[in-house]
Amino acid sequence: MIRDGRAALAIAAKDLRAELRGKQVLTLAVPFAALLAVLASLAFYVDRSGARMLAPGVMWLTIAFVGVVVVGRAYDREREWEAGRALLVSPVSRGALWAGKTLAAFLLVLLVELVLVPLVAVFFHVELLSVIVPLAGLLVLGTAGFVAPTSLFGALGMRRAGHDALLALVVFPLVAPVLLGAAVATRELLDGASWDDLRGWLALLAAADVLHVAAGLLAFGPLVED
Amino acid sequence: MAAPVETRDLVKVWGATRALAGVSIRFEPATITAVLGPNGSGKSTLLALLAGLVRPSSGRVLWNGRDVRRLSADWRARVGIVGHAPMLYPELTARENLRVMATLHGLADATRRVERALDRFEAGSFADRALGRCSRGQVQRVALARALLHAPDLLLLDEPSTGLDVASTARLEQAVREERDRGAVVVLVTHDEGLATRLADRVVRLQRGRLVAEEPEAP
Repeated sequence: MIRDGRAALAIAAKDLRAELRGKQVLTLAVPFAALLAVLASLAFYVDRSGARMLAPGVMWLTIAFVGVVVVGRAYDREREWEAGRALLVSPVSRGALWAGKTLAAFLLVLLVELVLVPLVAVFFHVELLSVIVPLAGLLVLGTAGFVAPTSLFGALGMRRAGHDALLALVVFPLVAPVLLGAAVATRELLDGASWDDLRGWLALLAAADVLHVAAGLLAFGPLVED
Repeated sequence: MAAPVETRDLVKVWGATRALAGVSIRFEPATITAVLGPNGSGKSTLLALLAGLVRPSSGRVLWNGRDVRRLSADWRARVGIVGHAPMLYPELTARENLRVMATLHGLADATRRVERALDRFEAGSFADRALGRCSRGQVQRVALARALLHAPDLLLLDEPSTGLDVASTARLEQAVREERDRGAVVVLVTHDEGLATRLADRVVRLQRGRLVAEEPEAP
C-alpha cells in the first residue's frame, strides 16, 4: 500500500514535471479557457444579474473541454516514446498507475481553473471573495468527479492514437451527472445559497467522486491489459 | 541464477485474428533465444504475453513452474524490456527517467543504482540534459540503463537495434551478452537475421502464430 502510494506520487510528479517543462497542455488550455470566457461574455451578455447566471455554465463547459485535452495529452505522453510500456511492465499496481496519472491531470486542471475562475468572475460580474471557500470546494469535488472517469478511459490512448473522439463519446455521458450537479450547485452558490443549502450538492459530488475513483482503481487494469 | 521461462500451448486471439495458435517454448537462463519470423507471425504478441502486458486467450506462461498471471506484480518486477522505441520521457533528463523507474521498482538503494547504471552506460556526461535534446545513441544507452536498472531475470528485446548506428548496436550487443552471462533469460525478437546470428545461442522461428523451427532443437 505504501509502495503503491509512493509509486502513484512518482508518476504524478513525473507527469507534472514533464508538463511544466514542455508546457504542451498549459500553452493550449490557458489561452483556450481565457478565450472561451471572453467570447461567452461578449456573446451572451444581457445585464449584470443575467451574466452572473451564465457564469457557472461557461465555467464548467470550459473545465470539461480543458479536462479532456489535459487527460488526452497525459496518455499521449505514454505513447510518444512508448514509455507507457515500461510503466506497464513495472511492478506497480494498475490502480497506482491510474491514481498517479489521474492526480497529475487533476492538479493541471485545477491550475487552469486558477486562471479561468477569476476571468469568469471579472467578465460575468461575480463577487468572488464572498463565495471563494464553497466555490473552491465545488471546483475540487466537481473536477475530481470529472477527471477520474476521463482518466480511466483516457488509458485507451496508451495503446493507440486517435482516441480523443472515442474519449469524448464515452466520457461525456458518464460525467454528465457530475457536470450538471456542479454547474447547478455553482449557480445556487452565486445566487446566494448558504453552506446548508449546498450541503446536498456537495454530498452528491463527493459520492460521485468516491464511485469514480473506486471504478478507476479497479477497472484500469483490465482496460489496459487487453 | 534465474529460472527457466516456459510457454505452454499459448494462444492469443485478437478479434478475428489468431496471433498465437498454441505455442510451447522453453527459454533457458543464461541463454539468448532469438525469435524470428515474418510480420504477423506472432513475435510481438509472444513478447507482450511474456511481459505480462496482455492476457493469453488460453495456455500459460510459467516461471519456475508457476503461472506468471498469478505472480502478477512479482513477475513484472523480474522483467526488463528494450524496444525500438526507448520507453522514456523526452521532457525528463536521463537521471530523472531512471529515478522514476527506480521508484516504481521499489529499489531500496535507488540513488546508488541510478548512478551505477549511468556509469555503466557512460551516460554521466549528459545525465542532466532532457532526453529530447540527446542523440539517438545517447537515448538508447539510457533505455538500456532503464531496462537493466533492477537486474531483471527475464530481458525482453523487441527489435532493439532498429535505427541504431554501428557503435550503438555494438554497445547493445555487449550489454545483452553481459546480462546473459549474469544468468538472465534473454528473449530477442527481431527481423534481423544478422543480429540473431551474432547474439543468439538458440533460434526459434514462428509462422502464422505457430512454432515452426528450433535451432538447436529442444532436448
